[in-house]
Amino acid sequence: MTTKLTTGIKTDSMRKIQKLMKENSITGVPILDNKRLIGVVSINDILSALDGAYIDEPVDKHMTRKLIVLEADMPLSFAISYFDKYQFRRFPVLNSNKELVGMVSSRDILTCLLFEINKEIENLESKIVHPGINPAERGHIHKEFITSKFNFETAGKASTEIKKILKKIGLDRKIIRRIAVAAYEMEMNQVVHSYGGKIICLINDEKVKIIAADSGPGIKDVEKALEEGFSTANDWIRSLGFGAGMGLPNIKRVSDEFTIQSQSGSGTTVASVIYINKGE
Amino acid sequence: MENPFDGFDENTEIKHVVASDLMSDVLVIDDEDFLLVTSLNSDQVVRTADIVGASGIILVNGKKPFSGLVKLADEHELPILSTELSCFETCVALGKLL
Repeated sequence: MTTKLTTGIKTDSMRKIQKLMKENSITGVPILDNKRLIGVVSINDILSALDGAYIDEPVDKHMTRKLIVLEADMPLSFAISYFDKYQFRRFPVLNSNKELVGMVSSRDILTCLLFEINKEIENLESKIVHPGINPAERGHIHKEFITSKFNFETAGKASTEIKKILKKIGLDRKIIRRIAVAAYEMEMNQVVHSYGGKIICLINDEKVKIIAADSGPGIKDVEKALEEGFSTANDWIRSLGFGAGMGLPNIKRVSDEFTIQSQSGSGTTVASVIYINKGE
Repeated sequence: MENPFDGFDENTEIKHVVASDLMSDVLVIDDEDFLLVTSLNSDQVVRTADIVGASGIILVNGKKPFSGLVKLADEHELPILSTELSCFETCVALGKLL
């Protein structure tokens, strides 16, 4: 619910409340007497006031007093049923002392549900074993990470985790760096260009394989995408420090083996293999 | 500068300086133990610096790292400084030290 509330008192004029609505882009203002809720002025009340030419009178006479309220400890499903039952667009929420603590709008509920759905999807996705991996390749360590489109807050986390794992194993610093750079470029590519995907890290005694598999939209011209400096990133992505068209060429540069499969309209899978005992 | 030497100690080795706002360009550099000079104030600066094994970060043009960035830098044990100097002035000053 929204807890930052714009409220009025019963001696306020209807016009003052109308201004509050305009300034705060809201369609209902709760009226308080001390902390107790005594009514709500809705857009309808304001329209009636304009129509009846009593917009300058105090709200006390004209606000809606028959209110349907929710209690703060009611479950969300209860709130949803209230939206079905009554035609209000928002409900005041009272605590156990009958004081107004917030307002719940259908928008608040949608936001909350969306957040929960995303959490659940992430949870489910983490349980899916990627079908593209040959079981023989699984190796000693198999780690998977989910990336999501334009989520720059977490972008890079998978690569940081992979780097930590490699450090723990005690690989050579230069090798770790190459793998980390490949993983990071793949991860940023997914965040910037794809609908989201997975970064998979497979480690065995001889090599580390990083696979980036996304769910689309695919690359139109793979050969072009492999050219240095070619990029389809837009300006705001560049302002974040990426999109210079160096990602794929750089992955190729640090890898011992590099493959890319992509089709416009479907997903892209990039794989990088780096041998860990090379030169020994 | 704020806490100019916080995070640095006598073991912090700086061999090179890389100045760029484009993390893509930083990722193609083969050197390690460099100081990253940038005006980009985002999580990706710390993540990039960590991935390539940079020694520290200097934010130029008076940009102050936002609080989440300081926390992230701490987690990666990366010192992060900020200066009122421009990118060019910072590089000139660092160049004199090398």
